[in-house]
Amino acid sequence: MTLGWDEFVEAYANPWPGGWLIDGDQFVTTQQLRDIHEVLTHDPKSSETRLLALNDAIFDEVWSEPRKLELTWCVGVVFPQPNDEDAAEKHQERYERILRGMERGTKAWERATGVNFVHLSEFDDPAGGIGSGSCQPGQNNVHFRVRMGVSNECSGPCAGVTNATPITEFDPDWAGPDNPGGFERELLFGPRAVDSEQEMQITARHELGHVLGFAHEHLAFEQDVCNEFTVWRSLTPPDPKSVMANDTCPGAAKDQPRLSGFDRLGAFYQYSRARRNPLMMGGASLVHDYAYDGSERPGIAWFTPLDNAIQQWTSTAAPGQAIAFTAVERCLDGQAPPCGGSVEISVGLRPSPLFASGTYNDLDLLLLGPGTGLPDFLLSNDGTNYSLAAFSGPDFTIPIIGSFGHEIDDQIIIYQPGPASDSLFDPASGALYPVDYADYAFPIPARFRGFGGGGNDLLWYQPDAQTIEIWEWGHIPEFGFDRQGPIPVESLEFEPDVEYMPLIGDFNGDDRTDLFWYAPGVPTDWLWLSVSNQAAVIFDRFERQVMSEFRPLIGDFNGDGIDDIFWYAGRSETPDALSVIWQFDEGGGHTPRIFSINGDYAPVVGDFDDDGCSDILWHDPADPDHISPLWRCVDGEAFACDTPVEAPADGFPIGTGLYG
Amino acid sequence: MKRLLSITSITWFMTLAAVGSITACSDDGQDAVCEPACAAYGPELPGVGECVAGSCTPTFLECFDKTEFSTCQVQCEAVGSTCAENACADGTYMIYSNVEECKVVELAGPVISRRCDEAIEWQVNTGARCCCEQVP
Repeated sequence: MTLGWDEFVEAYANPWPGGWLIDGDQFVTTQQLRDIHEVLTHDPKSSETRLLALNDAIFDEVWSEPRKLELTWCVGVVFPQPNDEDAAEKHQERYERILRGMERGTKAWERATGVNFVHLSEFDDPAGGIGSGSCQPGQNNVHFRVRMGVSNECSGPCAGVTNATPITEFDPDWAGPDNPGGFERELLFGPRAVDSEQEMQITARHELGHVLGFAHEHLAFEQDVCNEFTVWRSLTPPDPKSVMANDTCPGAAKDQPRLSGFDRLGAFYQYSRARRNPLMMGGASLVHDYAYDGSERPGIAWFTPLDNAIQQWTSTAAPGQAIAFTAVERCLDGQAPPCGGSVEISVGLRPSPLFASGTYNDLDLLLLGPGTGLPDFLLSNDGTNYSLAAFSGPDFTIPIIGSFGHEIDDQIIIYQPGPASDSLFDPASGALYPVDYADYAFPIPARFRGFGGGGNDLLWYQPDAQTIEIWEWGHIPEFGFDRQGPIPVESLEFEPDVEYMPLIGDFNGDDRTDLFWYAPGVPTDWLWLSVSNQAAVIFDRFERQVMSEFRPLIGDFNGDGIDDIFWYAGRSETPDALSVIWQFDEGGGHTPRIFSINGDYAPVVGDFDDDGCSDILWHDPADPDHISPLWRCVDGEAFACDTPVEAPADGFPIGTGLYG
Repeated sequence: MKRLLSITSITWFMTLAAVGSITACSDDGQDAVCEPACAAYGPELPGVGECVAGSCTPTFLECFDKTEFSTCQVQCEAVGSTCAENACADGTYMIYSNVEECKVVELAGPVISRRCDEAIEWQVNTGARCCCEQVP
């Protein structure tokens, strides 16, 4: 490309509050647009480079760990205003359609990422006129506003557009409590979307993909119509089924109001975090929860990057007592508070708990900063002190944490999705071992074969082809493994293009990890009970049916030694939905217990009072005072509401997230 | 006189041999009086392949790869036997990661209950042994 800046802007960009729109509804800041121009005009390799975030050699465009649990929104103006009976009916119809699109769209992305969109409906003001009344971004903890476009903001072919993308998260020019006049983060719908249920369901998912930082996918596959330029890093193979591909582009699948398998996988790579799974380690380490202070007391490590610190909580409750925590602030650099360091670096780090040194009671932290502009660290914890060491690895990797050797300490598989080679890092020895998985898949460490030799198994679920491969780690040589599969798709009985969410737990109490393949909505769900032993991994498979859309939590909610699934649905999101616990029994059957939960939380499950029954901290990131309710399991039969706790401001509970 | 059979034993043997599918044996602790002895699976799966009431119970026979057979009915017939449905520790076949694992004598794979004519459910595995009648 040889265009000068002015010509480039004239040809490709349209001004938009806070930046520019390119390729229709792709929002970029002025700096991003300049970077794109620079790449296209000066980098001879630019045509070979695609970045999810712009190739500015700094970092991917994703929300920080605290913000990703607090993506709050409300609905502003919806036209027509309800000035007469006919207008009121149309107004209400469109408002409700927007709500349906947003609620289903946010849930779909939440299941793929573990992020938490929170609808602050108390600030909805669709009849509030052109200024959107009480729904004001940056005020009342509202992060972005959803409304209809005014006049020609979004009309005709425009179904939706948003500038609420992660790149501006810490830009002070945008609206906030201290800057009410700043640029407002918004998601706008046009008449094309608000007058069609199908268009709304597609558009809401597409725009929410942009909100999460994802670029247009139609630029990734070969076609000769929608091909302005490609400057984004690809997370997955080119995907014509992606909801991020404009379906007016040749080759793109039409009218699909759902996230494709690769949409979900790419989102998982960007937002989900690897972790040691304490449920899986119960039989070996006696620690069913995370512990950080060197005692066997369970704890929560809150990542507070704006303070360059970890808030380390340790439970002080004995069985049967009300739950309480002690809190200690510990600096990421290992120094005593007040903590120093670069917030710009800290907010880009992705924390994972693991057992790399010491004991399982003083878990360590892997802090990965994806991209060439961020460092990676391994934070060794001896219970009272941190020591920070550089962790060297490729720039963009998906770490997989599991216990793959003879002992119960963890190793890290440094996975680069796709053909790039991978490796296993053993922190105990500092050695690297070559391994390779050449496809794009969800990596799921588990103990399908139970204990008795060898390490965790590693299941690879490729969601586009719906295939499964399992690595079975053996005894000799250490970190040697058998590569089993893939299982052909026709043998799995999975339906094509259906979303399956693999939940892991021991759902019959036999000390072997089982799988629950949750397919939200109508499709059949599958319970796979492991009947494996050291000679082979194999499952007995049973059909199940979970009809609604839930956020599943795994724990032992009745203290019988068998994991259960808490199907959580916030009534503030889905008014007619009830939450339900499936209490599994030794045969893999279950008994339901029904609850009504109003709030939209980011729950933390743990046995905080050490009575063998899982408790729940209902972390409420959107609460202005950061107060979170606390449920304590009582005798395996009920929950007591203990005194709510105050979570750290802008804190992220490390180790929480998807897949149990 | 270890090889001296009683009249009763001979009668048993002849009757069973006439049926043509079950190996006669002794369950009185004197296996050697009857040839061939039962191919008991081993202590991991007590009862499988052992001598019971004068007959060898079915046992898990030889290892094979998933490319060779798709049902235990066919596999047992291929070795001159008959598939014994769910008759070995309540299972019809034993599954292994691969044939090499299967050949490790002390390693018993998971036992799977299925019909004899039902396709073996391999999932990610490639080795198996079917539960077949013991033949003379």
